[in-house]
Amino acid sequence: MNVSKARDFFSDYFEGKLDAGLRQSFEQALKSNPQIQAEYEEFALMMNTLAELPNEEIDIPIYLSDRIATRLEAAQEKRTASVPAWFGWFRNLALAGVAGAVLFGAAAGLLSKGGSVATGDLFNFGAKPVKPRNELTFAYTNDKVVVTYNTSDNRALMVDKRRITPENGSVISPLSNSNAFAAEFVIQVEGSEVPERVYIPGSTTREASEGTGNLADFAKALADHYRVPVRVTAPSVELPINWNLSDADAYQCATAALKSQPVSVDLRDGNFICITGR
Amino acid sequence: MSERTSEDLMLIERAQHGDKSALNELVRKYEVRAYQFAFRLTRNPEEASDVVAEAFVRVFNALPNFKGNSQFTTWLYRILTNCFLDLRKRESRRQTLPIDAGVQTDEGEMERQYEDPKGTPHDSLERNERGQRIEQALKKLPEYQQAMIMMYHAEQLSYEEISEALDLPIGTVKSRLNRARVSLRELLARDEELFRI
Repeated sequence: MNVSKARDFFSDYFEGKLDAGLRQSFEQALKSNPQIQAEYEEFALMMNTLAELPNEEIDIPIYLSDRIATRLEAAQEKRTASVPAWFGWFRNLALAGVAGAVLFGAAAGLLSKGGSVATGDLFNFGAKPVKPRNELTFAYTNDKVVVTYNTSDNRALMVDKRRITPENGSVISPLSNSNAFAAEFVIQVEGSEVPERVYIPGSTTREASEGTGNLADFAKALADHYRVPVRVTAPSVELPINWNLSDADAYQCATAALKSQPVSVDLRDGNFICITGR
Repeated sequence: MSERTSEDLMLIERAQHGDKSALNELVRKYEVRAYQFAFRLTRNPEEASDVVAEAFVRVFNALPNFKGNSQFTTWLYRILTNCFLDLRKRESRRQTLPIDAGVQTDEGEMERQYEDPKGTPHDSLERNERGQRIEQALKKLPEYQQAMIMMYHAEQLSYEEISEALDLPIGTVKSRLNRARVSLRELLARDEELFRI
């Protein structure tokens, strides 16, 4: 067996898939031909290195889902005439420019829960009695942040610029994020001055690190590192923050990073970090 | 049929019937995996994101014609590979000066080099040296061979799945993969001193 022919069998021999006769010939060539032997050794070394490829950690860009959503929307626009009802729903993949798969149930009519899809029953319009004012509350139970909105004058709820008109004065919905990294939900009663921002961790835990950014960047980093939801109630998130996520505790970390900022930090419902502008 | 496959087929069927949430779910389910494959081919986050976005647009456009004869994932790999090949074709058309004419193999020219936007000195130091050398050598393989190597070694697809994704007989997949590996070894051997670190 010459060198060229032997090369044809490198993969099969490495994977133990050569039949007995060919294996014997190949091994004979390995023993008798130093070039084949040297090349095969290098080949085997390379195969072992290739086997490590799946272990490579690849960061998913924060803009990925937004880009997919934008391109899908553009594709959808071409079909608008025939299927107008589909327009717009792709944006649910990337609300507020955050990597996508971020769903506000009432807006999307869909909730991802444990990898399965549920519809309808999870969104309970009109189940709560109407209260004599507009009340927006957030509760953290069973690892989910649930938004409850009651309105006495049927004022709409804005979710990432999407207008949701309550039926019978009430909206109740969990916030869900099955994306890789933290998602931001900007929620505001129509006409109110200060929006609420809620950051739900993604499926990937970020390693501890130092960082710089605004309050929204910090909230996302906090959510993804400590696996906790974060709520920010402030007119603006444009506060410059430096942080270090080496602290063992999310609350301690947030308190340390925000100590010189005009905000207060508190912990609600066990592990729900709430940051409020002063 | 695996649970995952039948779930995908149900989602596709729903999407084909106009269920807007079903494609949404498919995208959410596979965007990370698609990106990882695309990034391994391009080594560039911008290009990889474009490849993935374009691939999902093609999925969206082709959904009505998807017959379910193959798994959604293998179909997606095929589309991703085509998007990657198209990206490189567009790039090569834009290329005004030839770069690094090199070794001819029976599957085309091996030496084509692309800018490495991640190649800062700091990044380079952080990466495993041998893995980095393989990464560099892989870029010099024809794109089709790169895709096959990534499918098998990084994405851990079986020969059967690659055969399905690329619509090639299994025997052809095996022989082409072997050829790609042998070519890769030759490229690495040229830099033997570093390879033996």
